[in-house]
Amino acid sequence: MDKNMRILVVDDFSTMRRIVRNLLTDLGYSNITEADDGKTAWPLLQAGSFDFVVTDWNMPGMTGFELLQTIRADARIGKTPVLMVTAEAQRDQIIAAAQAGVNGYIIKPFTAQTLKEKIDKIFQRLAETA
Amino acid sequence: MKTVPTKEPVESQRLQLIERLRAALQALEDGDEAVFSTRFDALVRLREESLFAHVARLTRALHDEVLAMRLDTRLSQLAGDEMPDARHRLDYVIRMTETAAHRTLDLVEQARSVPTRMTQAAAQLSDAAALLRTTPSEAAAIAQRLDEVRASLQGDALQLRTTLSELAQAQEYQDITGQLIKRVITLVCNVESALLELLRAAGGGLQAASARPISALSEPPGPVLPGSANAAAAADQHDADELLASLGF
Repeated sequence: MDKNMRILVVDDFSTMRRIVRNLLTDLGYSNITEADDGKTAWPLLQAGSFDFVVTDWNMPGMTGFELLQTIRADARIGKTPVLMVTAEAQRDQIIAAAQAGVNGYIIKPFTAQTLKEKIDKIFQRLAETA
Repeated sequence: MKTVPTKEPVESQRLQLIERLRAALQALEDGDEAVFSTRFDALVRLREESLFAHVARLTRALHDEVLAMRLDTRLSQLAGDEMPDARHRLDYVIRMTETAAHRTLDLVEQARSVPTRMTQAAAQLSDAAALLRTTPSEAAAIAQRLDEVRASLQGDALQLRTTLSELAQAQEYQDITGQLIKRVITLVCNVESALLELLRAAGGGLQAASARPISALSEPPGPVLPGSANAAAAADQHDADELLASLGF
C-alpha cells in the first residue's frame, strides 16, 4: 500500500480530525488533508487527486452520507474509496451506507487497531479487484 | 384572599333586584316613561355589574390557584433566567472539553519525540558497545558517548515525567463539567415537574406522544446511549463487520 497516498479526513470536530490524523501518521501515512464537513470536502476532492476519504457521518452543511453519494455519482472521482468513521450505529444506517457504496464502516469510539484493519482490508480488496 | 361571595350579599342582591323591578313596573303602570326608562337602565346596569363581578371572581380564583402553586413565578424564572443560564453552562462545557482535548493532543504530540530519542540512545549504546569490543583503547571516546546517552535519557525522563503530570492535569475539566452538567440536569427535572403541574392545573390528562420514526438518512440518531431504546437496535463494530460481510463486503 502506498504510504504517500493523499488522504482526506472529514469531521466537524477538530479534536476527532486530529486523532484520526495522528493515528494515520502512526500507520505511516503522511499526506493528509482535513475538511470540517461535506461541503468543504467536496471542492477539495474535485480540485485534488485524493486516493482515500475518511469521513464522519453526522456533520452540518453536508453529511458524510451525502458526501459519499455525491462522490459515487461523480464520473471522475466516483471510485475513490471511502471509509466511514461514525457514532451512527443503527443497522439501517450501516446497510444504507453499504448500498451507497461505502468501502468500510467504523463505529466510534474505535481503536487504532480497528482503523488499521479496515484500511488494510479496503486496499487489499481494491488490489484484488483491480 | 378568598372572594367567593357569601350567602348574605347574594340575598341582598336578590332583594335589591325585586325592589327595583317593582319600582320599574310601578312607573310603567303609572305611564311615567321617563322614570321607567331610568329605572330599567339601572336594572340592566345591575345585571351587567353582577356578570362582570362573576367573571372577575373566576379570574381572581384562577390567579389565586396559580399563585398558590407558585407556578407563574417558577415558570417565568425557568424560562427567563434558568434556561439561558443552562445554555451558557452547556456552551462552557463544550468549550472546556474541546480545550482539554486539544491540550491532551498537544502533549501527546510533544511526547512523541521522546521514544524517537530513546531509539537513538539505544543505537548510540550499541555503537559504544561495538567500539568497546573492537578498540577498548578508545576508552575516553566511549566514555564520552555513554555520557551523551546518559544526558539524553535524563532529559527524556524529565520531559516524560512533566508531560505525564500535565496529561493528568488536563483531565481536571471533568470535575467542573460534571458539576455544570449536574446543574443542568436539575434544571431539566424542574422544568419537567413544572410542566406536569401546569398540565394538571389546566385539567388536561397526559397523552403519550406518538413514536417518532427514525428517518435514517436525513436526521441520523447520533451516538448510542447505553441502555437507551435505540441501544438495542444499535450495532457494535463486530455486528457492523458481520452485517457488511453478509452484504458481500
